[in-house]
Amino acid sequence: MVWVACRVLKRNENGQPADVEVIAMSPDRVTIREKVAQENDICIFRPGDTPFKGYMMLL
Amino acid sequence: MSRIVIPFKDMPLLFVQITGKNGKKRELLAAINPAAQDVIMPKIDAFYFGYDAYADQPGLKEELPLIPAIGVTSIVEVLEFPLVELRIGPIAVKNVTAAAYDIPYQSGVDVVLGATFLSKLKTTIDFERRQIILEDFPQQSEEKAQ
Repeated sequence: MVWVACRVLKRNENGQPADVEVIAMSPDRVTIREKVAQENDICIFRPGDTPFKGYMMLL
Repeated sequence: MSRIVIPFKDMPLLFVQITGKNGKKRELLAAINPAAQDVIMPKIDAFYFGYDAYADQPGLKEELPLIPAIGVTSIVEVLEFPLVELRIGPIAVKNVTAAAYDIPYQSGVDVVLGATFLSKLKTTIDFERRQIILEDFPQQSEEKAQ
């Protein structure tokens, strides 16, 4: 499992990220934020299945 | 009027750009839930936006705008605060009320777009075509143009 912090290089017509440059990675959701705390305009997400494989979403 | 169509695979998820009170911007993966009253975002992001996100710690919560929030299985106390802007492509909503709450990381989702955001837009979730369609109201587009 890994969380990534990226700069968005290109967006599609609906404003969704289409190409990114990864600037930090972490296995932890909080640590990834700490790594880019001084940066602005950063996209943070966890690539892969959403929710994690084996879980269901109950919001 | 702005209109965007975002395809989805299993769940209606999309990236949203958030601006906090200190001008910091983050873009996070969001789920749509019109039954949620506020936009929900992680405490750590609210903290870096300059809000007292960890105010639920004992001894710190006096005089802070904490409100009880009903979750699926429990009631928790959350900090409620105004976000400067939420943006998805050309659609931007300003002064959106949000609450700091950590959705379990296993969800892979950081943000829930609730009624304080969705009520400013026409939102359609087309499960047959697997599309999220967001449109702002004409009045908002006119205000944006001015």
